[in-house]
Amino acid sequence: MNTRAEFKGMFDEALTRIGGNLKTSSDELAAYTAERSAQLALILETGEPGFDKALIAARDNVALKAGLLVGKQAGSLDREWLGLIAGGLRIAAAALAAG
Amino acid sequence: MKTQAVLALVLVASLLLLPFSSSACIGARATKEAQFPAAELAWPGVRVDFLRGIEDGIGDGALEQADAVILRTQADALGSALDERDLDALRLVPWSKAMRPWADRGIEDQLADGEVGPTVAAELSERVVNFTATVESLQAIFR
Repeated sequence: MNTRAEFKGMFDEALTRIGGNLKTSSDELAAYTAERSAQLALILETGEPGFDKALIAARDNVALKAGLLVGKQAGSLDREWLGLIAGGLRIAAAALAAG
Repeated sequence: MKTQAVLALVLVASLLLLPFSSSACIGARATKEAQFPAAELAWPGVRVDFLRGIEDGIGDGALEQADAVILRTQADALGSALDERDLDALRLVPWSKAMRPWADRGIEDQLADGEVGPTVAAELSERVVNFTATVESLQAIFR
């Protein structure tokens, strides 16, 4: 599973569909998100306590790196973006841990 | 005469460039201010770590109750500044120097107590790093 390519495709599609801009390129953001999902997968594999805390922190980290996740409503984070990031991280982490 | 012509040319060129530089500044400011939502999103999680660090500091005798009250008040001020997108109020909050170390301590305490593992703690620390960079970036706007 090429998580970086998966995330890049997801971000590019979301930028077109939801709108908004990013502080960094979608490729850089995808690489950073893939790193976060690899860390989450490690937590699942080793059974470390605190996965839910790490998932929320990883979502926040991606949002902070993206910087500008403003969709249709200027000045507020688009809920669809946040759901996409959190859902993508969870799925990727589970897939990496299983694979 | 030649000098006057050159000066006039420089003046005209400066006047022509002024609107572009102003719009560039406005654009940069808007881009930076757009970081408010992400900082606001991350703050509840960072705040939990910060308050945990304060409690640990009090428990270990590293922090006086009076200083803890000040830190908690500063945390409230930070939350309000982010919520209201208030740059002036945000600049008054000493996050990096006075407050951030307590968030780091809170994460260390969770790790020491076995509530989180080392990889989870690293992710929480990464959030503190990113949050700090964002707050500093916001505080530096037009300073």
